[in-house]
Amino acid sequence: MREAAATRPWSLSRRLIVSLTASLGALWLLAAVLASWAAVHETNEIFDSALQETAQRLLALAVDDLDDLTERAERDGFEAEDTIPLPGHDEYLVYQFRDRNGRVLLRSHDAPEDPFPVPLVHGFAGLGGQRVYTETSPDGKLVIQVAEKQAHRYRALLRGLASLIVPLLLPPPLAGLIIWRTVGRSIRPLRALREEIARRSGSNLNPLPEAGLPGELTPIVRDVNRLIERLGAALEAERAFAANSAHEMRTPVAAALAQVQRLGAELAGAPQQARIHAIEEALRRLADRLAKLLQLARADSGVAVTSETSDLLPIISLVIDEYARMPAHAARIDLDAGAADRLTARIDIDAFGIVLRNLLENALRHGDPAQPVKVSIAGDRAIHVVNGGSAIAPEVLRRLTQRFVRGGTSAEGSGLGLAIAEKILDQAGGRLELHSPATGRKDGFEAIIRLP
Amino acid sequence: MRILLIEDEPSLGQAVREHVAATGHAVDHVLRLDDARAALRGVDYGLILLDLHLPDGLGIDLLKSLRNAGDRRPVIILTARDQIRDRIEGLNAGADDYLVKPFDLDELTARVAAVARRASGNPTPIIRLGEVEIDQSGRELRRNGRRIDITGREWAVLDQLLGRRNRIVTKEQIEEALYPFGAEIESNAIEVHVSRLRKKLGRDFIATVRGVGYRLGESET
Repeated sequence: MREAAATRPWSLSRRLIVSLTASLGALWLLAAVLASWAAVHETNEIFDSALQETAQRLLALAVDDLDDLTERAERDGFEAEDTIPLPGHDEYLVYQFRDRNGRVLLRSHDAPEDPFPVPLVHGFAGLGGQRVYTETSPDGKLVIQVAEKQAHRYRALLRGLASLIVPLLLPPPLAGLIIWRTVGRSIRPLRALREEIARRSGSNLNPLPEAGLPGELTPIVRDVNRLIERLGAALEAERAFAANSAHEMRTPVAAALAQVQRLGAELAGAPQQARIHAIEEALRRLADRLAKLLQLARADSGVAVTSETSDLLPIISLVIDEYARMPAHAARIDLDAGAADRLTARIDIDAFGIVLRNLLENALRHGDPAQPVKVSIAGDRAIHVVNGGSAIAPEVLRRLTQRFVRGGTSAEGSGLGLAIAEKILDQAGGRLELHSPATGRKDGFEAIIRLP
Repeated sequence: MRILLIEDEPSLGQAVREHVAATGHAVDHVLRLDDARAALRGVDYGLILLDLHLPDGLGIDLLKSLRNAGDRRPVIILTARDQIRDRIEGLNAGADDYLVKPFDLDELTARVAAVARRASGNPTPIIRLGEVEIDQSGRELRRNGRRIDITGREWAVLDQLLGRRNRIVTKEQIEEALYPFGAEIESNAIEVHVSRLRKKLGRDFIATVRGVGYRLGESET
């Protein structure tokens, strides 16, 4: 099974769906990452700018008031009340005003009493989960440091990202679905075309329909149609050859045979009669072989396949009538059509005629001449041709349908009849079964035609 | 009986013509459809042997046109086409029998006799006339149970009389049935055959209708 897996052909639709979905997904991911990065960057910028703005505002407001405070503190060693007594709340931003020595002059409610361990340098700095902005008053006496709790910023960032990403989650599966459906729909004409081609056979050589096909498929369909046309012509030529050969070759043989028979009649009683008879027999054998080769050519050209069903009962009667009227076989064939008043099957009537003729010839030629050949139609639509005679060994029976193989018989035969019959039945979807001894008997031979 | 043979293979046609003629029938052999049509216009043939593939057309078309014109004369198709479909087409077109080449000449003459007998409305092969028993298919004659041998020509004359039993058959009708175009006919040939038949089968077996012809069996009038 490994080979089967290895040689399994690649699928157009699978390749389209997989590669389109994968590349679209990758692009989407890239776009999402870039967008997030941009969003984070922008958000950080906004937050930083807000932090900076707050610090500058506060500093501008505080510079005048705090001048006194600073001086007083310096002068008196007065320990300033460093928070403004206002009711506390949960602060996102905390700040400390510090003098140039780093002393905390004033701080917001949630700010630590100890100075931020951040150097008094203008600009942003990180401090264990907080972002600190430092701004110095123009005279350099007063410094404000505003710290923002990063957790808050992260929350905001996450919220922003979520509101960006969540709507973006919908398109990928949607795109996958659209790709899957579009590919499926686009591939539908291909599938229909495949089914149409599969329907073509020896009997259905109609051109493929071109209407409604996409432009990519039209040239293929045209080429296939050209092939079908050529195949049809070739098959037709082969059949015509078999049919024309029949006429071209039988007529001279018929003329030779007739002339020899006339010679025999004119030389009645002459010593050459034995020789004349030998020529006659040779010509008959030639005619017989010719007929078999033409039948074989017909079988090889697929003559059995047809789209029509035919009633075979009249054909059976007609063929049996042919043999019954030959003086050599007169009254040797029994037909038991059973209760059937119709026997329809999808097989070409000429091909079926060839099958039945071969089985009858076989039975008449090799069967016990003292016993009748019985043709019966069973309830399961099988046609049984039974002749008497000693049973045939199983290993011989198996080889009987091979070409030019003849059972251990002394009777004349081409060794082609059963091979032709089997070939035709195979083509039509039927089966040829050979049994010896015949069903329900201790001897004899039985051929069963299983109709398609 | 006079028979038209339409067969384009000269050698086969010659053998068939000779063999059928040997059983006492007059056979005209033509190789083309237009010759066949011309012959059919001029002569009242009792039976047609028809090949299907002819240089100037299909024999089946001639058969169809005959049947369309209401002509019920027996036709036996001689053809190399052995397929069931061809056979059905031939029989449907109105052929009385269908013989596939190559065939035995004796088989052909037996079919000719059988078809002619069926066409004359007398499908039973054995006819009893007084003390004479005639087996047309086996070509056997018995008088009071004793076998009588007669020649092919005599059979042909007998066939003509049997085919129009109880009616008068003219000497010209018999001559036309017995001799093809261009054959030398002795002036008293028919009288000779009739007198030989009478000798073998009994003086009253064939009645002479003076100045008109002959009659087998009772007069209808």
